[in-house]
Amino acid sequence: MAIFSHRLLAGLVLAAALVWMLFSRVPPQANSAFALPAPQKGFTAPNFTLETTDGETITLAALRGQAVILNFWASWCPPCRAEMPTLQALHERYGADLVLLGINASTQDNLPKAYQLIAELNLTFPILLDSSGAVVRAYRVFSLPTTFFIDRQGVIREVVVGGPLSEAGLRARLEPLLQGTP
Amino acid sequence: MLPILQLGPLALRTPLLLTLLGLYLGISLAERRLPKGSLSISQLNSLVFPGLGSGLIAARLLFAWQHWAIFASTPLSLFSLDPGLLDPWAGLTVGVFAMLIYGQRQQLSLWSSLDALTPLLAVWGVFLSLALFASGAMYGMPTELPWGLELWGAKRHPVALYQAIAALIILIAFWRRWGQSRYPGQLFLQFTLATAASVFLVETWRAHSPLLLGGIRAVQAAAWLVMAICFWLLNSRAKPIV
Repeated sequence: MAIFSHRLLAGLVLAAALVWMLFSRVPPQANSAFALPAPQKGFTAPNFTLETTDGETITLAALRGQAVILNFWASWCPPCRAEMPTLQALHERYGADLVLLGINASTQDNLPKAYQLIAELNLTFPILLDSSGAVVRAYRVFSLPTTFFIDRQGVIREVVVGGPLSEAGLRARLEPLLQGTP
Repeated sequence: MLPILQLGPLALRTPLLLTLLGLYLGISLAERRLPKGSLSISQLNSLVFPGLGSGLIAARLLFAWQHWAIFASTPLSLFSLDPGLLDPWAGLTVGVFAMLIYGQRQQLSLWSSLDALTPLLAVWGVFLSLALFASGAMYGMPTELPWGLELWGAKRHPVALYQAIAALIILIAFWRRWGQSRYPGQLFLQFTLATAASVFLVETWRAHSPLLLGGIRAVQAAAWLVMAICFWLLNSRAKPIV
């Protein structure tokens, strides 16, 4: 008798769960919510326009169709310094296939020291200066370094907080982005 | 959401910290609440640690195998501390298999061993949910409810917190029952059933669910299947032997 009532209860629970599962189906248009810009995996990368140390202006939205890595850094941060040579090697290895942007958290940094580091490490990839801190805030950068991997559609595919990132770590995250259709 | 805990010059990854803390507390609780006549503390540790170790090694090796060209040119990356260079599903599968093999070689009862591991799983479940909340990786659908949290461009259901609360309720509900199965496996099956039911329910408000045909949430379907298997096993194992 007890087993029969347990079976009945199990059947009722499973039937109710089936109904609930059908009720909570996701409508097809719900996926469009992820077109919202947010600094999180699966969302569109928030747009920004910043000036580089060479005085050039770069807008993220204009880079659609290319794989992009955004690396937030400051000169006082040891892991940022440690991963810079690896980033430079990556820039040289992938050339035009990859847009690598170093974003200096200028409100938290001493600019002469940042320039000194760029010269010392012979960095040739674009370094953007976030002088107002707006991009650091928009990307909710809590800790340096923080690196965003953005695919050709402008969608964030990976966020790595902290470092230093190894060459394998960078390449393993980058190569799926490069395989995507332009 | 608190992905990083800044302690002076130290930036600690909160999700990793919570995961490890949960594991430590879970093992401590499991050691104290072992079912009588099942496993000894040393057997429990011999089950857990080789399982974790082999799972971790397999997770790295299988990730490296999938990216062999990268690891062939930088072989020292095999020892990298980067948790992103792991294949978690491969690690989980190999870890579980390693525990099963060890248990079989030591002639441990499968169901008694699972009962002994249940407190660890219950505590770890709470901390893993908190880790997901801290990382912001598990977020809900937009809501106007007063307890919605501003995250990723909208006020959203804090689904990781819902899951943590559900896991905590399950932990409290089972608190006095550790080591008190009427038959081997009862505790583990009841815990798994309760956890699957909580995952099933919480998934309703999750925003980034993987979907099956017709918009059915894959996690809900998997949880439903786990619930059905648990009911069946509980029913068949509770039958009196004639």
